[in-house]
Parts: sequence; C-alpha cells; structure tokens
Amino acid sequence: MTQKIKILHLEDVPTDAELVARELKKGGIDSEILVVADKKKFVEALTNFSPNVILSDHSLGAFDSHEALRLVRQADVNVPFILVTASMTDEFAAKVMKEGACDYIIKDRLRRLPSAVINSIEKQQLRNEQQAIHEKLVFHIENTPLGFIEFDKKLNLKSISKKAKELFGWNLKDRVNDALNVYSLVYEDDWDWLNDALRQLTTGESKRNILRLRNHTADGQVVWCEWFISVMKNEDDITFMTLVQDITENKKIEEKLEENDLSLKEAQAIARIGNWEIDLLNKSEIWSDELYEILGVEKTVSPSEELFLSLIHPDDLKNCQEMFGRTENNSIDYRLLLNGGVIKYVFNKWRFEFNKNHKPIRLYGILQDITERKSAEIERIKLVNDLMGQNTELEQFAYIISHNLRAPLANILGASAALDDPDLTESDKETLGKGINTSVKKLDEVVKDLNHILQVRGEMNGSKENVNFSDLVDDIKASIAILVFTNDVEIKFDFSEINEFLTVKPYLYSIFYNLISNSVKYRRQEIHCVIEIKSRIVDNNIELIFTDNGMGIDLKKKGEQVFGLYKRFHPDIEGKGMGLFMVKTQVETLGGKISIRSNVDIGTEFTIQFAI
Amino acid sequence: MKNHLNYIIVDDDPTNNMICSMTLRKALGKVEAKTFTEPEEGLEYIKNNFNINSNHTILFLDLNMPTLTGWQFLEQYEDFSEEVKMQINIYLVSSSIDQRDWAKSRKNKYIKGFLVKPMYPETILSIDTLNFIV
Repeated sequence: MTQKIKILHLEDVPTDAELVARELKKGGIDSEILVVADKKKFVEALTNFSPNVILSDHSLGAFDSHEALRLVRQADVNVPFILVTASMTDEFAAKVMKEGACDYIIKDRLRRLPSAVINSIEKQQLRNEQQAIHEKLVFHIENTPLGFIEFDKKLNLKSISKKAKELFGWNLKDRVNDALNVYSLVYEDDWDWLNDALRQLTTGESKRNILRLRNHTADGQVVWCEWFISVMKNEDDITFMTLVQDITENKKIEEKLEENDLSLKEAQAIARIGNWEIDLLNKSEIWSDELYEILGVEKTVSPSEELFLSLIHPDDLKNCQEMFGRTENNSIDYRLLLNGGVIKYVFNKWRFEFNKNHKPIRLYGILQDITERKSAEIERIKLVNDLMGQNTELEQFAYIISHNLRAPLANILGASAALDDPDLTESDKETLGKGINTSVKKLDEVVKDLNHILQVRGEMNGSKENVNFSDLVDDIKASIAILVFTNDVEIKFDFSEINEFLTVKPYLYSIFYNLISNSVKYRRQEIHCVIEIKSRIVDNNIELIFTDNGMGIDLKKKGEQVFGLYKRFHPDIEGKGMGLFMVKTQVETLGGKISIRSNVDIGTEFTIQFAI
Repeated sequence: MKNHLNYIIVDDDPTNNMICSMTLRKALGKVEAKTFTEPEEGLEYIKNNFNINSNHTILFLDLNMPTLTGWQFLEQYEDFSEEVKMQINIYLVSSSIDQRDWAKSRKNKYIKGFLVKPMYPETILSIDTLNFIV
C-alpha cells in the first residue's frame, strides 16, 4: 500500500486518539488521521475528508457510534466502519456488526487494529468491485432489447427488469411493488401453452423453452412476445428465468407475408395459374399449390420433370419436349392427360435465368388451365359452323322454294302469252289450257310441301315420350305389310344394346318409316331384299344404323344432293324427292345428325346419331 | 339460216316443254324441236344421233332437275368430242336466277347464254344465231 490511508477517527479522549495513532504507526500503516470529537465535525469530515476507513469510539457524550453509522449510511459513503471502544458485551458487538460495522476492537487490545484496518479496506475494495460488476450487469440487462423476469413455481414474479416493464407498458412507480402473478401478463388463450412449457421445464423434459405468447400491456393492448424460459432448481425451490422479446413487428411482417402468400394462392386458384421454379444446378424443383391442383397430383408427391412429362398428352409430348429442350424463353398451348383420363388444355410460359457466363441456372414457369376457355372456343367454333351451315341451308331452301314456285308460274305466264295468238288451233288452245291447269296444280302442291316442311322445321312442340324402337319397327312393318309380303322383303332388327329413347314419337316414326320405305322402294328386283336396323351406344350418343342391300346411290356424283329437296336419284322410279329431305329435317329438329354410306348395286347405310 | 337450226329442250317439266315448243313454232315457224323430261335421255340422244355432219343445234337446258342437274348434265356433256360440241350451242334456262349459277355459267365455254322462263317469241328471236363457228 503506497498511498497514505486516510483515517477518520471519532474520539473525544485525546490520549486514546494518540494511542490509536501510535499503534497504527507501529503496525506499519502509513496514515493520515483526522480526529473529530463531535457530530458536526464528523459529518463535515465525511464529505470533505473522504476517508478510507472510519474508526469510532462508542460513547461520545451526546453522540454515539449508532448515530455515527446511521450518518455514514445516510451520506451514502462506502467506507468500512470499525468500532474502537473500551469494553463491550458480545451482544453489543453483534448488534453493531448487524448495523453495518465491519469490525470491532477493544482499546485494551489495540494490537489487532492495523490488520483490522487493512482487512476492512481490502474487503471494501472487493465489495466495490462486486458492486461495479453488478451495476454493469444491471446496466446491460436494462439496455438490451430483452426484458428479464423471474418467477417462482407458484408463478409469482420475483423480479422484473426495467425493459420488461417498458415492454409491458408498466408505470414503474405504480406497479413496482405489486405482488404480480405471471398469468396477469399473459393473454388468457395462451395460458395453456405457458403451462405446458413450464411443466416440461419442471419435469426436466426440456432445459429451456421458446414460446410465442400474446401479452397484456397496462394500456390494454396485446403485444406478441417471444419468451425464452429456463429453469433454476435449488433443492425445493424453482425459479423460472425468462427473457422476453417484443416480436409484434416480426409478427406483423409474418402475418403480412402469410396474407400475401394467401392472396397469391387465392389469385392463382381464381386464375387457374400454377407456377414452378427449377434450380438447374441442384436439379431441385418447387411447384405451387395450384400447379398440383391443375395437375391433379397430391401435394405430398415431390415435384419432378419425369412426373410432369408423364402428364402431358401423348399426342402433344413430342412437340413439348422439342420446345422445352431449346433453352429459350417461350410459351406453348398443349393438352394434359391426367389420371382418370381427364383431358385439360393448358397454356405454359417459361423464362430462364442465366449467370454471367450465359449458362442457364434457373427456370421459372407458369401453367394456366385454359380448358374452360378452350372448350368455350371449340363450342363457339362449332356453333358458328352450325349457324353457317344452317344459314347456307336456309338460303338454299329459300332458293329452291322460290325456284319451285317460279317454275309453274313461268309456265302459266308463257301459256297465257301463247293463248294471245289469234292463229291458234283449237287443239293448241286445249293443250295450253291443260298446261295452265297442270301448272296451277303444281303451284298448289309446292305450297303444300312448303307448308309441311315449315311445320316440321318450326318449334318442336310435340311432347317427348319414351319410344321403344322394336315396337316402332313392328308398327311400321304392319302398316306396310302387303308391300313387304308381295316384294319378298325381310326386315331384321337388333336393339339389344339400347331399345328406348326419350323423343317425339311421330317424328321418329316418320324417320323410320321414310328410311324403311325407301329401302323397299329402291330394292334390287333380282335379289332377296334385306333391311337391317341396329342400335348402339357410342360416346354418349345413340346410334341408329339402317342398312339395306338395295340399288345404292353414287355418292361420288350425287353426294352433295342426297338430302336435298326435290332431288331424285332413280329416274325410272316414281318419287317427289322429298323423303330424305324430310328425314334430315326431322332428325335435325330432334337434335340429331344423319350420315350416309352407299355403293351402287351393293346397298345403302344411314347412321343417325342422337345425344343421350 | 334459222330454218336450218334444230332445237333440243331438256327440262323435267313437260308443261314447260310443251309451251316452249309452241313458242318456238310461233317465233320461227316450223322447227325441229326434241324435248326430253329426263336429262339422261337427252344425253343419250346426243350420243347416238350427233356426228360431224349434224345440223347446228340450240339446246335449252334446265338447271333444276331432280335426277340430274343442268350442271351434272354439262359434266357428262363435256365428254363428247369437240366436233359434236361444236354443233351445239347451250342456253341455260331457269325459272329464277341464282347469282352463283349465273357466275358459274359465265365460266363455262359451252354455255352461250342464260335465259329466264317463261320464254317468249322475242326471247327466241334475240338469240344470236350467228354465234356458230361455221
């Protein structure tokens, strides 16, 4: 100890003070001693003298060592206090020590004084150092963004750091001394989580636990905090040490991200667009939820190129692979053939990301399900074609009708002009008169035909009923029995696949009747006439197939006109050229389609299709 | 010159053919006019009766016939030799004019004109009989 020790000595007996000074010197202590004898000087010296150690007699007249110790504490002076007194009981000594004295010396045995002074100073230094460390620790705790709380096994708070109070929004003065339970800090719905975590810590299942809890603040707000709880066990006692961090902002960001993710998912689902990313270096692949949805693949299946390619329609695969293989940004429409035979149309667009060396490192792609749009498009094209077909047909119909009306009219005009000739013979006049008569009848007939056709074409107002095909054929057979019998005609039918259809019976009857009677009419005389009628189901359609072994029609030459009005193919057999026209009109009125295959001198086959 | 012309009428309507024959007679006096209600028979007649020395003939051809249309008739007609076809001038006759038929007729070198029924004597006289390569 090189520096002089400053000693403040409270003593009202000068000889005693000298004795103490001598003893200290003898003990090798280099000191500067200030002796004061009353309270006033003592108090002054505490601040002005700044002693390293205080020695005090007990009884100083009106002043005593109790009072002195109190003053030392009051002045917040961290200086060891040694009692130096004449004699004392053990009880008295213990009392003074308890009050804060660090040692006591009896005046008769002053030899211990020097070592007591040195010891007390060293102890004080140690205490000061510890205090400094403690203050530093507290400083750090108070200045981290983490709050610190301790609570016991009954969940009563043992301590709470300043930061924790700030976090929970407490007013320090109001709440600092309240006996608080941890539950009062935690949002009720999260109590179970906390209890569970504490149970694990208590049983030793876990050493520390991280929890996200909602916490009440003093102003009634709820903040999200992360609690890092660890446990300290001392015999029976358990202390939970907890660091608390405010994560409200993180939570908000997280929620925002989650929200964004959700709205992206929602947007993808609405637009039916899935996306993927392929890391071309690591060969790893990510698919969005909607992509899984479009591909009809469980989300648990890991994405792979092989899986994706296996879902492309075989007819489109070659083209796709050729496009994918090009390492350039591109897009393509194609079909998927999914499990269960589902066919989807998709629009696929992709973009490569390249590194500095122009090497592709990443591939981004979107896949849009355009089945709905594509189906609508196909439907629209079909509709337009149907309409155009119908329109052409109507034009044709209008033309034919006007032509057929005009023909007899022209005859009447021509004949009446010819009748003007005064040189006409009586027989000429008679011929012309007959001509006019024939033409008028013809005119009437055309108008009747027109009426008949328009009736069939118009609004289909007949009520639908289940029509039995075999009954229908039996009826027709009966109605043309004589014809069938006299002409060696055989009518066979097979309706085993489907024998009933919900439709307008008179129309279907007329269709069957016309086709069967045509087959009889245009049979080949030299052979046994066989008419076969069959029903079957093809792709949700009923197909009715009428086959005969008759004269047939040269479709190469007359194909376009087969179903035309007033078209006839066998000049030597009487007919109006209306049968097949009416059949087609009726089939179409019932929503069906008719087609023909025929070979001259072999036979004819009509196929009628109705959607079920 | 006109008296040397023969006439063929191919039309499925017998009344029309009768009136047409009378109109021809009225316009030209006595004429040779063959009528066919079945176009197939008309073709058969040309096939069997025409040769290099035949008389020049005017053929009135109806377009709308049930078993064989005027156009189908013309397809088969084209198979005849040039000599035969040189003897015949074809006029399409129809009770109404379809623009498509009319346009099509202008492209066919065997068709000399398109007439609308009924035919009056004036119609017959207006036909340019000098239109033959003699």
